Amino acid sequence: MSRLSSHVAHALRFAAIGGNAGYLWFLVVTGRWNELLHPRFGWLITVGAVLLALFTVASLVAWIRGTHTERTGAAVLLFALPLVFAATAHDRDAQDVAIRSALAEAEPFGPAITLPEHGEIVVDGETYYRTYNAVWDQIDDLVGRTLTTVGFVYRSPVFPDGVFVVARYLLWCCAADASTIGFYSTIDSGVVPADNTWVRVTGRLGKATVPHPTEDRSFTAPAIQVQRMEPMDPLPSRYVLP
Amino acid sequence: MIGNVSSPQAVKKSVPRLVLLALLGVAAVVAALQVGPVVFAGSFFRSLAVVFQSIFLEALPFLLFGSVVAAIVHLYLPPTLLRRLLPGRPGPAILAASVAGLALPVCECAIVPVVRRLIGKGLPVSVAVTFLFAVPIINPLVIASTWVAFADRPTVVLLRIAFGLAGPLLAGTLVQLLFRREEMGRLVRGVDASTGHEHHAIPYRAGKRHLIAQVVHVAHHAALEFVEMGQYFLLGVLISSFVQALPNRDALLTLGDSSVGSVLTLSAGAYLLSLCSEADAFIARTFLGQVSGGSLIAFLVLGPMMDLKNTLMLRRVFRWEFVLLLIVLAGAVAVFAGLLVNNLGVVE
Repeated sequence: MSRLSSHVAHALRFAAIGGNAGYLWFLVVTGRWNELLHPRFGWLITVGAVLLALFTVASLVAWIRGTHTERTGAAVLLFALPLVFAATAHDRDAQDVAIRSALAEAEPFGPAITLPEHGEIVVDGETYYRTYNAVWDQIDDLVGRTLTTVGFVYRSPVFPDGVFVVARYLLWCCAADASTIGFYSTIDSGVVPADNTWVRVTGRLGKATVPHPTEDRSFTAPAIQVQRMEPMDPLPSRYVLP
Repeated sequence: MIGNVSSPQAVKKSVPRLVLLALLGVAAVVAALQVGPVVFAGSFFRSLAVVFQSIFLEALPFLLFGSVVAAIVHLYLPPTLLRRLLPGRPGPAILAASVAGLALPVCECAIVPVVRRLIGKGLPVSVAVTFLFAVPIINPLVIASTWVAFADRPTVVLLRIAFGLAGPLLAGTLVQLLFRREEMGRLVRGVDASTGHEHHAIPYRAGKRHLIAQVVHVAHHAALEFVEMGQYFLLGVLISSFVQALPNRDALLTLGDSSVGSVLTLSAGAYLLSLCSEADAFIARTFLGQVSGGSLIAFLVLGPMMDLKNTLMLRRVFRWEFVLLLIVLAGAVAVFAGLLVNNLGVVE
């Protein structure tokens, strides 16, 4: 291989690794990886950033030393993809689009919490998913109880007027496998706040037949007849972690 | 990997081609950055971008880890040691490979570069295939995540383990029976599997380098491995993201109503979605009640053994015909498992 080809191969490889190392470090420093992955991946992303930085240094050393190398094909340009995608879609709206495309029945599973025998049931905070599970499991005994929950407004085109979901995103692993969960809510006035508005809703628990968002069928789910609804500041994360 | 000697004519030809490719690459990146925000404003492309990033970030650390292990194997594992460690006869060696994941808990992304280097050190292809198929299923992390997702249905966990052992054992044994040792060399790219010598390989040398120099040396080789495998990995992630970004992804997975149809559909889904084996059980759980029990098992067995991004990475290890054979073998195991479970009715 000629000197020029060798330099080109080294340069392309250095750019491919260095570019992605920079991207990963950006995500680590800003904490933005959190918008795409479950928190348990935090240390893995940091280790990945360290390894890529090490690879970058090693590639630079090899280039400077003029280590003999194989030719690099055009496929190395694929390494630009993560940077291009990151540059074009990093906002939360984009996440919403991705997750909503996967909206499903999402009948919950996993550990449930012991619900209070009397008074209000609150589905919020770190116990959100376990409380949500308990409500699904025991819905027949809970009809008529008062429930308060927080989330953002989500309306599917298939929902009738005055129906919306007080929604959160359930994240198992990464945004690619997240799904929307929440309580189907009916408001008598028929006036539903704009999509993505964060609300605190209190209402009477019941059951509803809900049209499936992507399939031609319905399913039964816990639902709220809204009694009180207040707008609120968005929570730091839209995700609920099981 | 290193030391590809080219003829003067080839060098002459390659320079303008490289310059042209570099220019085209720069133009493509600039165009993507300029046009990207406009094109990507559409919901499909925004979904694609998010799904791509999340799959990429989720799997990247494992690929990096696999590249480091592969570089260490390449530089420091003497072929003689591997031969001493492995049982001499193919049967026990295949059996040992089927449970190797208990000691090396990695997913299907990390395992490909490791397998490639192990073949280079003389690991028989039949044992390598067993190792490749078994490690992403029979490892503590995957078993634990399946247990968490299906805690109320232990049969699903047991069936995943059973078929995750049986499938790789069957595949390895078939490869052993179908190909003679000298033929195995022709299945592998860049490695003479009959002798276990890599073409262009640096011979084993533990050396007495300074520690930092050793680290840089390993990192350089890991970087080469990463760039080489990463191209196929990225292409696989891109195609898989396209599938996942489709508006009715879930509807796609539940297309098959019949016993056979649902098994085939979810097998195809497992292949195309290319989910990480450490997370796929949670996705499978969301299908419960909507699809047949057998199709769930097929989904859980096929995905870790063979998926789209894995296929493209394997292209760098094996010849296309052999990759195709591996897809057929993995698919047949998963479909058989699914149909058997459906017929026995052991998972509801």
